Amino acid sequence: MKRILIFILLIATSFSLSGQDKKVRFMPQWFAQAQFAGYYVAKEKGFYAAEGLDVEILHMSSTTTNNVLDYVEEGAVDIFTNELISSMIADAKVGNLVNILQTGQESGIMCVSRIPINSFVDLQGKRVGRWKTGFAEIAEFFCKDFNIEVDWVNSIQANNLFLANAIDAMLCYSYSEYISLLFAKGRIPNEYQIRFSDLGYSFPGDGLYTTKQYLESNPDVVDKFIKATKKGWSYAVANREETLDIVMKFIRENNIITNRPMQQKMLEEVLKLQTSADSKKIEYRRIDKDTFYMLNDYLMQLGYIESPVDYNTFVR
Amino acid sequence: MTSKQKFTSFASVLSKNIIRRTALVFIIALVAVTIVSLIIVYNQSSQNARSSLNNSKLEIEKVLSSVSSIADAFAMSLPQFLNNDEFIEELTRDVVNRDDKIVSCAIAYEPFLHRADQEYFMVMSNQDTTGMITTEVMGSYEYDYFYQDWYQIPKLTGKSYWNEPSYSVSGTSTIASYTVPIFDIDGIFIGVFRMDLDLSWLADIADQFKPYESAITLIVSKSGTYVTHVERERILNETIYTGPIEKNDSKRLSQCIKMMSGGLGSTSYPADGRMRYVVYTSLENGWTIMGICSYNDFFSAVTTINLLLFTIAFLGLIILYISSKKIIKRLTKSITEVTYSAVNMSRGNFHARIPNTAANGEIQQLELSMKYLQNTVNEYFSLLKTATAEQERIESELAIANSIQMSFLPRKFKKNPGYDCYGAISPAKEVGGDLFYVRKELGKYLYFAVGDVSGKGVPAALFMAVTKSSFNFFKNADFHPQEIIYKINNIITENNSDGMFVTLFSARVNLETMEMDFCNGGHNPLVIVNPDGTARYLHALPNLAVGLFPDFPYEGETVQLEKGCRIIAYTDGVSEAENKQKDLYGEDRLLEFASNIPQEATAKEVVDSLFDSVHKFANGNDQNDDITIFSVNFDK
Repeated sequence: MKRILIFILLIATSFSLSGQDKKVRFMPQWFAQAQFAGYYVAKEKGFYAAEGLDVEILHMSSTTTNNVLDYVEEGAVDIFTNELISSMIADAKVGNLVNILQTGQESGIMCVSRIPINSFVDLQGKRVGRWKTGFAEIAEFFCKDFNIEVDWVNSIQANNLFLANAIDAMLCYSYSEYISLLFAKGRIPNEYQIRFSDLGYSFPGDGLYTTKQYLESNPDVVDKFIKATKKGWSYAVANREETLDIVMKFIRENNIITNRPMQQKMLEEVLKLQTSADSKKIEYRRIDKDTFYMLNDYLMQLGYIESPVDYNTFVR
Repeated sequence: MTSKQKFTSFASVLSKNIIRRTALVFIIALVAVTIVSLIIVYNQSSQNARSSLNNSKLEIEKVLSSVSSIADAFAMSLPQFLNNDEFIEELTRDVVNRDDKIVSCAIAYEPFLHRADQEYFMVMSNQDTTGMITTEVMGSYEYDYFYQDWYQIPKLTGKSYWNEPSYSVSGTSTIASYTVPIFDIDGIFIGVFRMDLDLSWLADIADQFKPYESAITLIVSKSGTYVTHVERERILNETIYTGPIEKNDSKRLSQCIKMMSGGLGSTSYPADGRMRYVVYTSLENGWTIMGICSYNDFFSAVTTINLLLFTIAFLGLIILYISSKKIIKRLTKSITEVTYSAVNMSRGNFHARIPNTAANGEIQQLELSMKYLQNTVNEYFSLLKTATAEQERIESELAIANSIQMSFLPRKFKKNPGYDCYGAISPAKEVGGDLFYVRKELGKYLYFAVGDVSGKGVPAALFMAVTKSSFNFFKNADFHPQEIIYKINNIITENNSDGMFVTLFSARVNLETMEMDFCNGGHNPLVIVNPDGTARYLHALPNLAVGLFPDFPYEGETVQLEKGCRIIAYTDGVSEAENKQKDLYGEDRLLEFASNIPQEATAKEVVDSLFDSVHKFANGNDQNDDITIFSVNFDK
């Protein structure tokens, strides 16, 4: 019963729905912000409705310590976004998740430190903040490879701990916590930050997921959702200011503390992480098998999973 | 001064120059005063603003200190009541109840500390907007307070901490949590004591002590988040860095970072085209309070002083201009009068009155100089008048002399049977020393002579007159030219005390036989133009110029001329005529001229064309000797 108290905020739709519209409950993995701009645009511009979908965008409360998978487990969500590695870990436990679209070609995970660092190795023995709900696995891969031990401090958000000098460094996403820190400190010199992709640990990030059961019973809905979502992201690329207007609308409705310049920077970074380094265009590449197997190995060695996640069932 | 130039008085020019320079001095002084005033006023205004800000700081810190001291005291006493639920609940209620600014109070324990089977234990009392206080036990998987920053920061640092501001549970107000770590008697961390302070009073206190009426006071948290702001939507949503980052304003960003680094200070930055002056100081909880003042807030005194100084300077300059112009006009009145006199004099009134000035120094010197100049000019003009009258008289006399002299010479020439002759003289001055003589047909003879007296002007003219008159003695007798020259030489020599002489060529042509008897008294050789057009000089014995020695034995000669030939007699004014390059006309040029005379040319045409040839050669150069040309054309 401890998981009964969940805070789901219902986003009021701005148009009436026809009787044939298929209801879809969609939840992004974090609070309302530009990280999910494509979904908000698809909803607001009627791309989902055009596909015959009545999409509800649900957000978790900003004070909750739950993550999106808790809501999936409760059966409160049909389609959701999540980070690849945490999805693999979750799938290894329940075996019912399917990656239906890989949006983030790069995770954007990085580290910001109060002391100058050349590598994450320099944080040996230091207090490093990370999310209580996961997402730190790439840093742990590094620690394992380089035999580094850090004093991990789990928290909902480590920003205030970092600003209060309670921790020496913190993991953050380049499109999220990093930007909040930048607006709280004014400047973060290069020698105080490092990206794990620059250390050779480049892995895909955010993706779109559903459960196997939902996919089997609603394959058309999933296809239409993907189609409308892609359209939403394309529209966001071409119409940044309008996209920001839409994002800020969702932010206000969810009482999130932020501002437009911060969301603008987040949108730019998220789109950058979705862009292929080769084609300079947004691509939705299927997860690479070798990368997937490498992640399986890392996760098993770290004890996150006992047996490898099945690529064929996990990746649609 | 041209007629188009506008007359500008000396007083006006001088006054304007004085005003320009004085204005320059005023401007420099104004700039200097402004700079010094700005510095002084800036320091004073900064001091005032800091003082006001300090009052706000003291008032705010009074509240913050009361909260922190209560929390610290309770946190210290809590370990002994660790398991007394009733006391703990009452305590949180009592804390909330004792001050309206405290909206909630919580005590949270480490996992399983309260009871071995109870992971979460957090007691929290809240005061709602109606003043009702409710107390509840909190903590769950969904509200896992162990991972909230208000719990983690004091736990990790072991110190009390003013957390970043946030919205209250109701979302209607802004609160700041003060959290204190609780340690047991062994110094082991066992939980956190938390007090939530409502911040709605902050803006009022900040405004109450703001340095200037139009100034804006802001309070920002340690992370730069606006805790108070005139634009409410910025509170908690934006940080002090949002604007500079959005505008990519590196300088402003650096200023903000400096302001946030703590301490007391002031800075300035441009916004909307005007400067803003910021004084700031940090509060004991690490937040920063700042007063943003406009230019007018800081420098209204300087503006007033500048306006006053400018008005005084402007009026002063006008007064100075008017008075200086009057003074200069009075002082230079004498100069003006002298100037009018000078202008009158320049227009020909050399007796214009030059006023007696009362001034001393340069003006008096000018007056005396003008008077002296006037006297000198008048004297000069008097002399000039006399000289001019004398000159006019001489010129008149010379004109008469010229007329008389010319009357000596043959003037009427007409065609005669067997020959045609013509002669002309062009004196270098009013009167000359050249002469020619022709006597028509004494029997079968034609007599002619050409002479040139040494020197020029009146003496030569008188000598010429004597020589010419001498020919009259022989006009009725048939003398050989040799005898004529011999006799004339004796006549002239007899009274020639000045040693003057005359070159003289005298000839007698037998018109029947064309034999020419001649005698040359030191004169230029005759030019003979043969009937075929060829020309040559007549070779003649030079003898000696006439008038030098009495009884000089002049030798005569005879030459046979051809029918149809021409002869050209001349003086050295022809052969020695100079152009501007100092080249002489010369005997070769004369011979060339003679060789080119057209067959049908009359004697007058020969003489006129030779004059023309000489004048063209001289090309405007002054004639420096008398020129005489005499020509005879003999019939074929």
